[in-house]
Amino acid sequence: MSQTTLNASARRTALRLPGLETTAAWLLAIIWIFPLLYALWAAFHPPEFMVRFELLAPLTLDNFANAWEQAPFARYYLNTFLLVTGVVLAQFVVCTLAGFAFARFPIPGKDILFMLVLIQLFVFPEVLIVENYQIASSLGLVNTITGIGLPYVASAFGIFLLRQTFKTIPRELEDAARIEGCGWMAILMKVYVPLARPTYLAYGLVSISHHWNNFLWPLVVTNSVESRPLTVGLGVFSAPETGVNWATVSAATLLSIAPLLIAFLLFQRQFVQSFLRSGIR
Amino acid sequence: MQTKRMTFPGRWLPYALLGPQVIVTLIFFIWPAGQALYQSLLREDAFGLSSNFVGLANFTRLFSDGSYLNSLSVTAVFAIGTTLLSMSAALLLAVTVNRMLRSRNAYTTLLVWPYAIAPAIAGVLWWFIFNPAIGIVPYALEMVGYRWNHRTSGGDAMLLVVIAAAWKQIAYNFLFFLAGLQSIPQSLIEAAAIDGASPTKRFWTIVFPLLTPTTFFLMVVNIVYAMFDTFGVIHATTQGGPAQATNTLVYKVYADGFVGLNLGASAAQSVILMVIVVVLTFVQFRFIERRVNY
Repeated sequence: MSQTTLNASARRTALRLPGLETTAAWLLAIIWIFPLLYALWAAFHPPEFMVRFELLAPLTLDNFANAWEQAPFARYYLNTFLLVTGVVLAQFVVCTLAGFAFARFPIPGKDILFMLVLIQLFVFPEVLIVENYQIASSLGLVNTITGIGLPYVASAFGIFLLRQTFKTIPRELEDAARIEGCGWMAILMKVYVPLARPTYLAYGLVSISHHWNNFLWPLVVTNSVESRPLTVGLGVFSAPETGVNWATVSAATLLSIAPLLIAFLLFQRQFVQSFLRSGIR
Repeated sequence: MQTKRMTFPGRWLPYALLGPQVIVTLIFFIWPAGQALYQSLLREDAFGLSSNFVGLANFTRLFSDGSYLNSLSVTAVFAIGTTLLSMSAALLLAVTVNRMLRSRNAYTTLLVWPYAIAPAIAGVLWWFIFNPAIGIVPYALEMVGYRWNHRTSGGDAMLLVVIAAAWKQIAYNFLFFLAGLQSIPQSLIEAAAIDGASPTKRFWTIVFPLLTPTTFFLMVVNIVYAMFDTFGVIHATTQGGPAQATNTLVYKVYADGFVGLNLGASAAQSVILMVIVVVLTFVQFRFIERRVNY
């Protein structure tokens, strides 16, 4: 679909657009975003105003201060940050090498190996959670950030995407590089990787948002503050039985989603593109 | 001879390149999958000292276990409910937004935001809104005479987890429906309009059929999401309760294996999950390869 026809068609429909429809659309959107707005309200007002919506209710940052004091959020942030960067970097390395091998080398049994990769596309650690836990514990990976990230490193999805991208790159470029005296490593780093930049960006964004938000596996494999990521930390903090004040929980919730929400705002076009390109999550 | 040549020296290089991926796959996929299959055919004695081969007995026992059958039907209701709600709401929003011109980008940003929120956190937000004691929705429902309590009513609990799970996924569906709508040639719709078809009729006879590839693709993605990616939602809201009314298959594996510490008995459950995943993957690929169209 080309951008010009798209705009033209949009302009045509816009001519008969009644104001009422736009209003209804915005109303829908507000109902839609309501949980977030409500959390914002609760986080920035004293607890007494949680169900009393007064326009002039006093604003406060106490809830954030309380949340920050009551749970080790700084540590959780650090853990999530280490986890996400570690996973994405490791995925880039592993998937680049594997994608390169699948795209450009004549390997006997390649089809079988690639089928294996494809089956894995949906069998993420959640499905084999008990068995994976046993393995992580026998490798001594329980309660470590490596343990949270390692099972996701051989991402079938990443290998699949990079293989497709590498296959579209003309052989002539590779030949030219070889004539210049490049070895395979130099060819990979100077020809293939730079030309696959959009794929890396798309895949990286999808992967970051997935691992920032991942919950079940980190919950199972961690049991202390030292390794818990934000999602699990917040889960522990806001568990109904802890009896923490809801205004504080709202503030804590906002603290843990803020970085990704801001990233979505900044990279919105890239995020949208990458979801549409990648097709699968 | 272009295609047959060896492009790089060294016979072992490609294997070395595949090495890291193969090792991780072996450790965290092949081995656990094999373990699950193997253990699902064994039964340990009461003391866990020895185990013997029992064939498919674990599976037959599972399928005659009331709580497992309940979990299967709960999962089906949950997956269908979440998929229907998130897809119909997303389609409605996408159709509306597709007609807008000036505010489309702002609107899209707003709608995509929930996708950035983890299911576990979406669960916390909705739990807060639906909390029987302090939540705003039970307060409003009370005024129309309905006593909302997802801690005692299984129906309320299911509705809560479906809403919370669907909410996050609407953003994703919305993006795909919007892209699908924008790729429909305007001339088709105009031709129908000239023939006198009403907007509703135009939607159901032209737009909706042309969206079928997107719809089928999203259906599989949503079912997979509802089945395997919503653990956080359930954990934050109902924890499988009340009386197992929201105990989905994945939640049950977790509850049996980690809370109930019954690691051996969960192998058969894992195998069934794997089979479901492989079937869904297969369906997914069929639709990606040759998308349905009328």
